[in-house]
Amino acid sequence: MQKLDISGKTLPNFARMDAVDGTILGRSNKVQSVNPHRCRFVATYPDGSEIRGIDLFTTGWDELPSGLSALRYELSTGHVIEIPRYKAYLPMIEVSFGMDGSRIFHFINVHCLANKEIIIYKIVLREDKIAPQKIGDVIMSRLPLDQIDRFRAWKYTA
Amino acid sequence: MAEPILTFGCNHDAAGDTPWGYDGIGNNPDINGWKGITPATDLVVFTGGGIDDPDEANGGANAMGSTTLSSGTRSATIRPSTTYYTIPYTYIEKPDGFMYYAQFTGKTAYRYAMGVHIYDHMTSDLYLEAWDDNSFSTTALEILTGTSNSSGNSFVNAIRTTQSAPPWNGTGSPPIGWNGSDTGAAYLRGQEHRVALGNATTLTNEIVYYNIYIQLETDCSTFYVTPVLAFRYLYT
Repeated sequence: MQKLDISGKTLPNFARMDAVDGTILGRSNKVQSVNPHRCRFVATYPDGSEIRGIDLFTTGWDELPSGLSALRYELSTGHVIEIPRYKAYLPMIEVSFGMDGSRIFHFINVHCLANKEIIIYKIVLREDKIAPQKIGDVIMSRLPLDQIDRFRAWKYTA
Repeated sequence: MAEPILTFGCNHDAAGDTPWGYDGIGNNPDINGWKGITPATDLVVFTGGGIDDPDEANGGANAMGSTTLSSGTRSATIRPSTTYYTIPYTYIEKPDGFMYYAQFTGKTAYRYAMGVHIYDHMTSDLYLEAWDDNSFSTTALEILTGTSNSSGNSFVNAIRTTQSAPPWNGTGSPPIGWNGSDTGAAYLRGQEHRVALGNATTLTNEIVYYNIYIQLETDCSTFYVTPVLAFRYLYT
């Protein structure tokens, strides 16, 4: 039986990968990326306890209980992105998978439920010689409430 | 949640353009005439139409000549001189040397040509993109930038067929068929020109389908390139 499973955590397109970051050498561009094995969310609860995510492959977000009091992301490069307090959070990881087996993580799109809209914190996970964004940058945008994704993974604050 | 698992397949010899019917990881994707495509080891090869190509001699898209069936003897293709030319055949080349003909893939009116099975949940559509390489950052190859004769459009045409077969815009020689301007289609180039394969905001445990071909223009150079087809998605 032939079993196809791309859920592994190997990244064949990375030429150099260390604990901090990795490099992808393209034809005309050099891309620097976070090490997705060492990026995670950290949720804080009112009693001071913390729950840490696993990595960008298996985030652990679904298992996270609601009632958190703060949320932050820790990147392998040392960047810590504190997400301000909102009613609820829904992070979405943006990834590309190539038919050659390669993979790259572009952004963590943290959707935050506010009173009248959804605020999106787009955390940059890669940088190169062309795009102006750098690793750890945060790009903010907004969505109207009627575009809320009612998928189960929203986690509400205390 | 973990990253969703994608399984890729092509319609190899299913009679009558049948859907894949693959139902998830752990099972054999080689069912119903479909062949699983293993990323990293398999190649999607667009070729055919060269001089003395037995397929051309036999005059049928399904008449596979022996020279194109074994590793190392791929037929060439043509850089056209008088009108555009659609590369006629698409194969999946396996590391054991076998090449499997994706018989419904190309400028055809077939719906079930290429498929992607999504195991688990995506919080977005699944987008098909094309890039220079696996840095997923540039689109400078001529096949993606296009030429004057292609109006600056990429040579790589893809269309979503999850909901329906491609439109067929008349006949002729060469046929107009469908192209990247049709609804649900794109001349693939980076993130800007891509195809949303599901036409949905979320995808869960389902198969999305697409068709794809490469059309060469008379003003293109001769090239051998390996752009990367990529799938972009979101998950929690």
